[in-house]
Amino acid sequence: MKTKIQNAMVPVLAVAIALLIGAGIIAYLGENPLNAYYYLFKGAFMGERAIARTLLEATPMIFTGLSVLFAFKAGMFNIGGQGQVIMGGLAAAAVGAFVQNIGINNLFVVLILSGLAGFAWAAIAGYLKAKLGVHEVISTIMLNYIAMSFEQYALNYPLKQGGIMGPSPQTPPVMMASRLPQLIPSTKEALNVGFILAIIAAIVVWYIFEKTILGYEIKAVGHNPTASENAGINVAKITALSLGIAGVLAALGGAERILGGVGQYTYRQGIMASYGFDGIAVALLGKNSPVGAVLAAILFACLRVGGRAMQFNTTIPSQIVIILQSIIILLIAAENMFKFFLERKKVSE
Amino acid sequence: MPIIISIIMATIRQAAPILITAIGGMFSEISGVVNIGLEGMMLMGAFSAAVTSYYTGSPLIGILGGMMAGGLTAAIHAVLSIKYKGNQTVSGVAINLFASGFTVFMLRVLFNQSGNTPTVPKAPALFGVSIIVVLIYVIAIWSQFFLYKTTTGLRMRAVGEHPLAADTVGIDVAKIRYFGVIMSGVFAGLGGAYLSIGALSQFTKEMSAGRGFIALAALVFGKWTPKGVLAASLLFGFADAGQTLIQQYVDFIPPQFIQMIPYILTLLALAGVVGKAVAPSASGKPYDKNSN
Repeated sequence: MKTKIQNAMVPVLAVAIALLIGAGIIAYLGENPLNAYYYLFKGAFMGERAIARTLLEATPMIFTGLSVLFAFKAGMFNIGGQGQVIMGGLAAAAVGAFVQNIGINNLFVVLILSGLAGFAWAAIAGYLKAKLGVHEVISTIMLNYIAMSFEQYALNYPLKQGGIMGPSPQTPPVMMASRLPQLIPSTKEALNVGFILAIIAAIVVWYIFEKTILGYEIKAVGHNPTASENAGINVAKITALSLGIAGVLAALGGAERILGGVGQYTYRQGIMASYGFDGIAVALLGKNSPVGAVLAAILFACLRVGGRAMQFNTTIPSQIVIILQSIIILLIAAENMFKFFLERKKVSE
Repeated sequence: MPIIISIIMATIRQAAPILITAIGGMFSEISGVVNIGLEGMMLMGAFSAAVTSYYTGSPLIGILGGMMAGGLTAAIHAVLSIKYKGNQTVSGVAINLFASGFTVFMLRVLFNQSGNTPTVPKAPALFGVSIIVVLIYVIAIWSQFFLYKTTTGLRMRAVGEHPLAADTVGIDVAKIRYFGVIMSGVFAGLGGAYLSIGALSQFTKEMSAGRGFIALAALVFGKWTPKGVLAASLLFGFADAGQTLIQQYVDFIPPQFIQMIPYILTLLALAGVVGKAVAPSASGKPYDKNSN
């Protein structure tokens, strides 16, 4: 029990320390930290529109956070979220715009195919790991860059919307039947059913790990692959499958960006921002629990959305929130540092 | 004929920042610490080189500024990975994020700009080649000698392959690893300095543009050896420099597919299709005396 509380303390402490360091930077630049943080909070939470904006920004991060978490449970580090988000988004944009109703609900078909694209892309790394022992960190980084080049190719050639001039190409908008409905139309924000899907995904992931044999096997492989193999678990299969499912989760995050109307229902340059990489921060801050991932995604979204409001009202550049985010991750990476200090305190007592 | 020469020159130039950053990555990984943060260290180097050159008016001090910033950034990674035995991949990811936020933040604070610094003094050139490029190739050749012929170099490799054995014969594992990681940042910072005050005369936002990761690819593709890394960097530099030429002759291949080549080659190398790439065996594992 004591370790459980200690475990939950690390993220809280990390966020608190990062905010303190941020306050120091803000004060150094001659602004009142409380004032700046007030604008940040107001921009992220005060009013229906602000909340809608924050939850909209959180949606893809919930998906990518769950993706990283899923691979973590199997003992793997999925740095490939960005590539999987891109592949899922491109599949959604292509199918959503060009494939007419084929007897089944369009949106359903688009989501399935987008998830499959993510599965296939991530399973490359899974297969390389399972069959050839290739470390997934390096292979997923390589796959990210291949996906980024492929994105440029797809936007400039096969998926390019005709008649649009200018340096940044985009795909044609997806058909009405493929779109995710808006959640609170009165806010005119693009917050959409994708957010609900993200919450459902979190529940499904929780269920898999708490209640199913598959989840048990994945955790076993994550803890000790050799013992799992001896216990009759097909480690190669579980390894490839876990990364594949991680790919599905990330891909759905990409699909939400396109089908949810963030960019007028088109895939345009930069729409995937860094959501795949953000998933790493989300999973780490969320301490590898689905509930934690949802909360962490909302926190990071609040920093982003609020950061813009802060920049508007003070002289503090919004990039300070990226610095805060990186400090949070560094502190969590240095989790042992907290334990180190705690233990030293105990000794001196 | 002049086309060929200009392509060779362009290849040498484009390969330089990848090469020196990959050599840096080698110093870190060979001593047993994985370094995903090369991209961020490079970006910090590029930014600091430009800023130092701007304020001192001396691009030579700018080069030093870039190397120092890279080294300092790497020191964070070193403390987390070695002293606190943190997750090295997580720390590297955080460093990349930090660099991309910090550089743009400081652009606003120092210059009230969101995309680039003003024009800064550029490093001088020897026979049309930036002295940073010359310096990079000299270091690359020196590293071959350093890692295989000097005591420190041999100790680094011992610590990366078998830290317990190295410890037993009295080698200070932590000290050697600190050296390896900090040097990786110094070199990545030099690679960054080339981008801002060697190739251009200003810093632009996100100007490392994935070169830190290409360097990681070159390191793997070059099988963690200086010669291999040099060959891989030149190949990747050529893929970059030769793009326009390749386009002229094989116009049916979109340029984006040529950009993928380094990454695809690295995946193939990892899969054992183009010679098997095997990492130093203790790479990524914190060393804890007491747990052995």
